[in-house]
Amino acid sequence: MKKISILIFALVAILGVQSAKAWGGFGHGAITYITEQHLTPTAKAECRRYLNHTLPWHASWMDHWRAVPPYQKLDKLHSFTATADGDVNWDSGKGKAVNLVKKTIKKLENDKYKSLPDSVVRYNLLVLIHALPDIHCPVHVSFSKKEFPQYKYTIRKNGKKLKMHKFWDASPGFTREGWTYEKYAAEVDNLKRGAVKKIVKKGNIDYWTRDIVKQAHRIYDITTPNIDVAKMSDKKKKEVTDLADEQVLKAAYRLAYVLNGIFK
Amino acid sequence: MKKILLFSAFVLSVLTANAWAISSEEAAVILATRNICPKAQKFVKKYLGKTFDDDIRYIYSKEARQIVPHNREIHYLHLDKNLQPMNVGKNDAYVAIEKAMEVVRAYKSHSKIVVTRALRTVICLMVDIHHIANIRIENIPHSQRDFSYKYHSTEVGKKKDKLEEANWSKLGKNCGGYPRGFSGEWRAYDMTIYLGDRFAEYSKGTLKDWAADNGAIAARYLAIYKPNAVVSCLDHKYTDPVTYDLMVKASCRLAALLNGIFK
Repeated sequence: MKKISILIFALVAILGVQSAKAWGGFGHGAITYITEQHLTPTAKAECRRYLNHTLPWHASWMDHWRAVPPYQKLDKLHSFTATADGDVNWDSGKGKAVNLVKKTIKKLENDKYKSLPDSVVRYNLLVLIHALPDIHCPVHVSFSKKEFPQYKYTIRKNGKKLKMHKFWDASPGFTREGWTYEKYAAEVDNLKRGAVKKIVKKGNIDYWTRDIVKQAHRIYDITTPNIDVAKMSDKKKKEVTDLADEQVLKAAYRLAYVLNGIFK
Repeated sequence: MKKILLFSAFVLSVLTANAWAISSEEAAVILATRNICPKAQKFVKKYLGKTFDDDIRYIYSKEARQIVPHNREIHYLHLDKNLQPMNVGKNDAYVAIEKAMEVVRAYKSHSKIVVTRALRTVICLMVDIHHIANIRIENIPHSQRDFSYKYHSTEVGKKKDKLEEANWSKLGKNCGGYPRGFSGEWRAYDMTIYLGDRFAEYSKGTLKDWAADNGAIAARYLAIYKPNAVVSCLDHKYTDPVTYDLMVKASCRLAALLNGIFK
């Protein structure tokens, strides 16, 4: 009798954990949902024409297809390495994700997309709607072990080791289980025009990356070594979601700026 | 002991149901409502008591499961080797839809509760017969029951490649791998964009034609997916767009059935 009860609870616990795993795509979906709300009618219509779906539908495609040919070459293009000065480390190809974003925009901007086959435009748009948000994730900025040895640590969840990457990747959904993108956007997408302008900074990607690196340093002050994320105080939890939301909004507004610029 | 087993079965069924189906099916039904004529809208509202959109949540509730005969078999579509419906008995989705549609068409001569039940059966099962794993084809023995298979996580021979285990019954049910965070409403919006102006194309034909169409798609996949088969990562990923397309077809065809009542 007791054994059966334990078995039932174990099964329920396993199924619960499996559901929680799927939060990974929430951030990407939320970013692109907010992006959609800030697209011009022309940009929205062109995105629809090339993608045949909403942006959130495609938001996680680079993660979904990264193991499958011919998209495997994109597997290493999700992050970049920062220098001690807070800039992108362009040496040995480590600025790959930023480079990918820059190159992709270049291929499409100034009406160049009009002379490309539809399938090529579609592919480049797919890259953009995943890679640009990806570089805004604080753990997608790597710091050299030599310059920042203090950043190589793990945190904990209910006493068990947890990678910083895993935790911060899912941070927009932290404390928001079961939220829809609509609910999330209603909660966080409320900046005034002036603040948005400041974030977008006329599409200056070098400014964006320096800002992203600065933000990436902050996570190490919030989630210190061995902190147990399951036992965080409400204040600490808010620090996590505030930083995550800030990055989500920046990624969303910047992506909208880029798409509106391409499809003028 | 019996009580514990029943309780555990209940807990598992609730968790499984929540895990995949509701919002995909909800989306299909919401999209169907966008494509039904005003008379059908009025009819649905009258018999379901509230808006069509709200009612889909009721359809999957415990209460509704007691009204609509939710035994396992009724969700399956049985086809012969020529992909024609087999009418294997009252517990077949095709037969159940036809019978329920007879009641719905003759709604004036039935009581409200009988029409309501029939309408709910049609809605639920029209979506169900568009899941490839719910299709059982006479000359394909492994389609008769669920089975497990393995798939490569990446290209064969790559360092990261792992063999993952999966079940046929789950294959067609994730509606193309929607990320969490999509509400039913937003999924339906996404489906509307995907559908474009193809409603007439997707809803063309009869229930019999649709069953054969779904059967042909299922047969193509059943040629690759077999018990203990090892499937490439490409085959595995490329089922997503197909299952998505089927869900959109389900909503168009459901709308066409309901529109047909008022022609």
